[in-house]
Amino acid sequence: MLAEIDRLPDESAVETATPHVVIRNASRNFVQKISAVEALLSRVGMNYADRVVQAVSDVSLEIPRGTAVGLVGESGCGKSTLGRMAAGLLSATHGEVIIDGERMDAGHAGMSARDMLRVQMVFQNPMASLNPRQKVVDIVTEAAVYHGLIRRRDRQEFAAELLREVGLPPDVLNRLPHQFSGGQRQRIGIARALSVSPEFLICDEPVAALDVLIQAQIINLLLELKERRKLTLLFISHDLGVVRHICDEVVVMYLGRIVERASTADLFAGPAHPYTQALFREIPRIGSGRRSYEPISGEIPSPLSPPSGCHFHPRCPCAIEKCSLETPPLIPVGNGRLARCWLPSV
Amino acid sequence: MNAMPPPQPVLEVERLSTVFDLRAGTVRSVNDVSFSLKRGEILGIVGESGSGKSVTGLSVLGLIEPPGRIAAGSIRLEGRELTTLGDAEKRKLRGNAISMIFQDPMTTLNPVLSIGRQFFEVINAHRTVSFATALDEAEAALVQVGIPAARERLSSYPHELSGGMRQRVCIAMSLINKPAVVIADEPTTALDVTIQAQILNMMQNLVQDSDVSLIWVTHDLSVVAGLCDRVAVMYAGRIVETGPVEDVLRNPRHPYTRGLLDSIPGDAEPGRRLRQVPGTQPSPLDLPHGCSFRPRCSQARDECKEEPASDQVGPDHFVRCLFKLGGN
Repeated sequence: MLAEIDRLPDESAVETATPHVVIRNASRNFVQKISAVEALLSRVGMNYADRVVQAVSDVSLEIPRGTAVGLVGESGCGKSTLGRMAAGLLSATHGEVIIDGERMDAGHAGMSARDMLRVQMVFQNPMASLNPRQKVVDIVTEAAVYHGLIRRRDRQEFAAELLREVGLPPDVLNRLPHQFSGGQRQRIGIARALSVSPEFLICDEPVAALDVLIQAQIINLLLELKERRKLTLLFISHDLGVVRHICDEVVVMYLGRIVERASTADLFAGPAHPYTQALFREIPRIGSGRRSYEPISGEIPSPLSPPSGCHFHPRCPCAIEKCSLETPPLIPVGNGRLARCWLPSV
Repeated sequence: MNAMPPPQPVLEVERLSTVFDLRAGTVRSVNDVSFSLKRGEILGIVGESGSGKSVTGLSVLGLIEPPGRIAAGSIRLEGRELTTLGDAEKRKLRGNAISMIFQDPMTTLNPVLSIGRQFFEVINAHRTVSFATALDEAEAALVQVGIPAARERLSSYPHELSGGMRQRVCIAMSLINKPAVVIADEPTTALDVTIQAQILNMMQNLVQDSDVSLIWVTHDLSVVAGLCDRVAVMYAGRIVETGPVEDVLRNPRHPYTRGLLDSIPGDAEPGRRLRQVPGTQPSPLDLPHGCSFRPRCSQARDECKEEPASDQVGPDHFVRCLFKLGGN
């Protein structure tokens, strides 16, 4: 194990204490096979090949125990894919996920189902992630009973206790998901994740689908649970405001790569990467008043054919020639923060 | 809202009530709502899901279908009453004097027609033009909303465009017949922030250049803060507070507006609990008597069981609450 840690590239060797969760050089490709017609055409000399999307590309990340790391980016940046890899729902094409010193990535032999309970996930859409025909009591106790954590006859009591913890009254135990509002359903989703006493919780946009008043309630609940249960959190969101409120550290992704990583306070004091700066500038804020926007131009390029060099260079206001030729490494830019840019502003 | 200085407002909505007659009872989605819109003005209508903000927009467009109906009130566009119009007359207005931008551009655009063909349909519904003329107009409109290689795009199909591009096409289409009023229902909710910023920027410029009036329906107060001139905050079918954006957001007088602002995590101190409003919106079938926000309000007293009137608290700033916050 030690030898392996020595092999870590310098850029990711930031934490000195053993982190709870380590994601090391993880990549994930999705392959679109060529169609039968295209296969035929390529036999007669035409140029067709499998299309590969590198959804996550060489991402390394450590999460110290009891802290919350925010994963931020726009659609297609790979944040959800990375979350699913960390949860063991997707296998990594390269690299590994290590939790508590043990390899936990999906597809890795020698990992027991019981071990995997230490990692749980809360999903964005609680209507799609709860079985519509299961009663609440079954939803939140099924896993615990299956894994032998509680006895079947203790289910009611166990479920009532969990529901109390997430702020639902115990008299809803026999209801079905459709009888709840969006916020209440998300509370059920959280209760289900907590039912097997995980240490590491991955939240994939848990409040994105909720109204702002309900969103505040769920954010408060997550903060409370994090403290009470000493949870380690990976919090995936496109909303920098929510991330700022919950997370200790923020990782910004663009087209599969980490472009910046810093403590929340540092990042919000002054982002180093031009993309992060653009994100900050363009997020509407209450305090800013009516203003003229100065949006960065262009759209997120297709991940099927990402731009050469730095993925952000076609949209970047300060790109130089080098940016289109060479991919910048993720380098320290002071205070333990990392940025993937040839010209980081610190 | 009588103290409106000249020029005459483009759109005046007075005491509008839209109800849905369901088997379970009557849902009052829009309840006694009044507002007006001046030329070149951007009004934000803000509220949570079920607050009636979208139904307000659809009512103005005359798109309320049974079991829904406009039960009371009047909607006047440039002085002309819309609630009494027949279907054919309404159809003449829609997409012409008044048009709409929807949330999801993929479901708004026809997937089997080219963009150019769809523009032709929109133009031809109101004016007889040749296909070639329509394409010229469409190209100019696409250039105006910042679509590169506009001429080639006219022969593209919706699936060939990105989400942001599709929404730009929808915006160009909504403006092609030079409407007086455009109603936009959460048009940037499905878009990423960098694209949202591009669209908001573009809308501001379009409004300035073309003098169109815009109603922006959204759940996001921070979008309103950056875009709109005035805001109307809706809760359970009523406008609980309305006024100039800066007044309302800096100095909210209704506890619900305050609650909305406090719930936004962006400006709160990180790690601390957000000040949350307890409970959920009441069922529209079973609204509480008097002020609908009463069961969730920390200021509520017995008097709130009476429906509060809309009181003026500042220039053009109205609040529907008996115990207004921060009163002088």
